[in-house]
Amino acid sequence: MIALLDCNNFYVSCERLFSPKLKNKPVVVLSNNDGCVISRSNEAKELGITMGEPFFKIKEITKKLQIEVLSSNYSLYADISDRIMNILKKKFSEVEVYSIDEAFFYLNSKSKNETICSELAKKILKWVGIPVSIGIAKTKTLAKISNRVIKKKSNYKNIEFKYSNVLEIKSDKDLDYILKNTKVADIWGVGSRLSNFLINNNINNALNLRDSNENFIKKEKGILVKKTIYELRKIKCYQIEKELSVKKSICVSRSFGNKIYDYENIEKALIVYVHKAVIKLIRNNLFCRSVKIFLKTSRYDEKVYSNSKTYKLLEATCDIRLIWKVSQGILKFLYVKAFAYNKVGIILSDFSQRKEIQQSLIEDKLKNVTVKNEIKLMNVIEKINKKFGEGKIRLLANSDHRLFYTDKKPRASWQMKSAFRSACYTTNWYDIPRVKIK
Amino acid sequence: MMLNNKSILTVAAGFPSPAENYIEEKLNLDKHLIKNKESTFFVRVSGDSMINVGIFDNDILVVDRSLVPVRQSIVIASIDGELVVKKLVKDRIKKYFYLKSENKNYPDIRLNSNSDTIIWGIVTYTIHSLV
Repeated sequence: MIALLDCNNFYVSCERLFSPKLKNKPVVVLSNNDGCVISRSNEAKELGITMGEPFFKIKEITKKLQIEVLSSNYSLYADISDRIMNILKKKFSEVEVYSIDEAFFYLNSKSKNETICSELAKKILKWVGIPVSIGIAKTKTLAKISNRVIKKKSNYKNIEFKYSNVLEIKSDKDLDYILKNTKVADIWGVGSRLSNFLINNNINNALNLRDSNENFIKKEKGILVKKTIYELRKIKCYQIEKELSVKKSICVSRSFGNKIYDYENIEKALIVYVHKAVIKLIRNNLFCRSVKIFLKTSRYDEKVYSNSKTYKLLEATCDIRLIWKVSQGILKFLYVKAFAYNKVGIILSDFSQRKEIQQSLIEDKLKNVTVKNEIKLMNVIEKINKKFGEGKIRLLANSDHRLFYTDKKPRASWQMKSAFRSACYTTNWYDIPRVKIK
Repeated sequence: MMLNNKSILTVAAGFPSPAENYIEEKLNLDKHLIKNKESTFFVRVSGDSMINVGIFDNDILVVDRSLVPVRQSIVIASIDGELVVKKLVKDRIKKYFYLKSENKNYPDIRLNSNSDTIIWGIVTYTIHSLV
């Protein structure tokens, strides 16, 4: 069996952990730049706030209805997510972290799956303070649906729940009932275009889709739909994909031919390595969150110096402009005049896969555009370099940052708007929660 | 600027030293103070009415959410939407648990299942600076 663990209203739940006053209140969290709503408490959902709603449109309503509005605090969410995923990985060997708040894993107990998952949910709630739901079924697509049933119990009145936050779809009768009451648009992997096509062909719910002619639909809409149909028929098409263990880090460095004393020349060398490292990142379909730069003299030099510093990005990236900006900042920090340097290098690590990132941000439309642009830009750079030779398009050392931008609004992406962001409670000593003695 | 592929080195991370096999593991405060890293959080104290249990203003408390509170535990509790430090005490005669206030200005709070008072975590260490 396959289980899907999904954190309930994840971003809001993270905020509530450190701000108990938000409990039982309507709360929304906004995307980057305070663009649109990306997480809602149940109370906010009940007030009719929809997912993806642009903030400017509901600003007045939030004031009127006293809805708490927060900017997104990704360093907090990433830390809480890591804790939950670690608990999961310690218990189960095959875990696929699917997004910041979702993970698939295999279960192989014959009769106790629900009990095991209920214990797991209890543990996560106690240890990390985040409520989760776990849907269990034969395939990933059905596990997704099962999870949805837990969250929309009122749409599935015939289903009996042994636990409020765990559901295994066991009998065919239950499965048929659930599929019948699930719209095609709510099936994993069915986008709006496909769902329109299906509805036009009189396929309105998941049951219709399961019992449809897969070859006709495949002809019209491709192999992925066929897989979805098979998955609805309890035929496994998607396995649990464990994270890449192939590459844990990408390191590019080289000893200089001659010792270098001045900052400018070290920077010129580093910029080439940064470029190389990012190309490797792109070729492996990876995003990185961690950038490390090291700078050293020869071990046999009279005056020995060796230092390194790691910078953790809030969100994973493959954008060479951002990675260079960070690298340059670290190099400036590391560089001390008066040493004869012979080596500089970059190590990128903390990878996530491209697919994963895009999917976790599907709801965050604004963010999705920037990620897509990042990928587009890097692909174009790579294509040109392949055609005309390595290094034809590359970063310019020491130039004004504006040169790196192709956007119309330079700098905007660095200076994000986050007017209502909470503190980095778990990742910054200055931000840890204050507790009074009462 | 053309780049030579051969000169690019890819390693797993870190730089092995010839002395590596001889170095004993360094003492690690994280390991000492954090028994369960998934459930451990840090908070900073405001107020000095818990000096008698060794907690001073501005101290950093190590809080483990996975532990079960016992009598005399120092706990972080969520009371009226706020995180506060309290001592968990059992009433000898009436046998119920209550959160004892070390600050005379606040009342003791009896714990029962239907109140909004929740034990958030158990304080395991306090980190107090002497400089």
